[in-house]
Amino acid sequence: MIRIDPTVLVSALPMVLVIQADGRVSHAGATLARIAPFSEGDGIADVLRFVQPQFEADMMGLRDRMGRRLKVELVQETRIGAGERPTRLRCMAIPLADGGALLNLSFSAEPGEALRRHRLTAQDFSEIDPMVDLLFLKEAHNVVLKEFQRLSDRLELARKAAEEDAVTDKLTGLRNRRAMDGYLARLAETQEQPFGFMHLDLDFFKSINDTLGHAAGDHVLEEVARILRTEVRRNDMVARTGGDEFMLVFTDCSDVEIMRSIASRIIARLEKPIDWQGHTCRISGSIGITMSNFYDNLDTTRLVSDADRALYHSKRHGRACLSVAAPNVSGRRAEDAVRSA
Amino acid sequence: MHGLICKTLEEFVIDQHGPQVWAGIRRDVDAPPGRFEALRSYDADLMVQLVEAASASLDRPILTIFEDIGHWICTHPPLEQVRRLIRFSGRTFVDLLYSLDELHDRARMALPGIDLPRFEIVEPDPSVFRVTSHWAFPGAGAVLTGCLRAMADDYGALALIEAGRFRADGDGWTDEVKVQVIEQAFHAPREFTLVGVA
Repeated sequence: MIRIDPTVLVSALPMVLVIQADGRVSHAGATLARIAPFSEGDGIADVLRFVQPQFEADMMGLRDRMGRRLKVELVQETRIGAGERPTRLRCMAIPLADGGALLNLSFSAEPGEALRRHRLTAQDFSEIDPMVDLLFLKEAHNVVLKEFQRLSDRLELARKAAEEDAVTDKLTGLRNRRAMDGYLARLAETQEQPFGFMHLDLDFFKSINDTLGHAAGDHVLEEVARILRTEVRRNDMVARTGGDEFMLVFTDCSDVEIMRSIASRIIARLEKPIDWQGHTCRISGSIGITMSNFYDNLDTTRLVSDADRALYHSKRHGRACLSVAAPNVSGRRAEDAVRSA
Repeated sequence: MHGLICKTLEEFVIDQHGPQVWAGIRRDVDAPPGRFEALRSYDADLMVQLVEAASASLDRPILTIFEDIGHWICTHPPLEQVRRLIRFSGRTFVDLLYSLDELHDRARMALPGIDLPRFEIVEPDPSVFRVTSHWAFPGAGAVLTGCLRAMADDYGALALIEAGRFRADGDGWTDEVKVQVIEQAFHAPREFTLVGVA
């Protein structure tokens, strides 16, 4: 037989309830009393509601369930805000020699809400209760999670920057060949819209590099990029695909005549003298054009090589002009070169 | 070495002396570019070099820097979480001292892989404590000294805290911090609630 002074018991176990054989509460731990003030002599039903399993709050109901994990709510719990649920506690009953019961209660796995509601502090728990460690762990866990989130945000930014770098031409800010290949592959895959494809190679550019130096060449390339940008619409695509080579995709376009007129305009604009530190730079451009609707089965490698052949046709015909490819599939004429105005 | 420790040195130098000073220290030891990530692991030798370079650059002894870091992590407002996590160790300053032997394991529980120093506490008379540390690197006692000075203040206690000398011990280092608690409730403690703001 163990005998403990009840006042010692309730201070050592601040979440304990002692119930006498007649079903009346005789002692309550200090922390429970903070959550729900008891009066000595209250019956079990005045103090506890058994919510899982549900049963009548009396000694008989309790006797059948000694040693099990029960879920209870405190009938007289204070500080429950509007729309909030009562705190649910775990409870285990142990039979006492005198026919009464000792109920030891504890918080659930997530005690934060109850602790906040009742402003409980470390003083409200037993010196050896791991509750404080649980709260420590929860808080530490949040700190680590937040750090992971920040790390993942930084990585995402870095990934986006790297992706952008990988598809951008550093000098002109236009897309690069890799981006153009990807873009054409996507267009070929979906085949939703007809589009026009233009391959441009600058004429007389090498002589600027040779006579005025690379800084002048770079300046001219930037100027070309600016011109090309203004010749395309929002959803079109311009890429610098080589030293002085550019590729352009005009989406939602099936009219080769429109492509011809854009190409003529580009050539005309390229031929306007470009000033570089008092020197006049003169270039022009040769262009090859092909259209997605020239093909029954769109193959991007074929598309690019046809435009390329048309481009070299232009070059052979004295430069500064445009040519349209004529794939054999639909029985068109070989290539028709059109001297630009 | 755990990135959290490397990042602490980095943040401390940047906060107290500015990003240029830190950039200079990194250059001195040829450190790889970028900032330390708290959740990665780094070469311990690099860290040792950085500490030595910081000491030269700031013209202060390494142990003094460590003491300042200890104090800084407990008081620097953006690191309020650290102070809170330490306050979970006990209700009073003496409780905190008693819990130092659990610190290594507590830290591991929160962040597996972090290797903080191990501490042992003896209490030769009721208000005097000797905290012995063991760590793979010298200087754990200096960090602890700064930390305990800040936390004594946090708990409202009046205590004398002195770092002893360190010496090699097996494959690591050991040192001793002497703590004399003069008054547990010297002034009002800083606020601490178990459940912080979400």
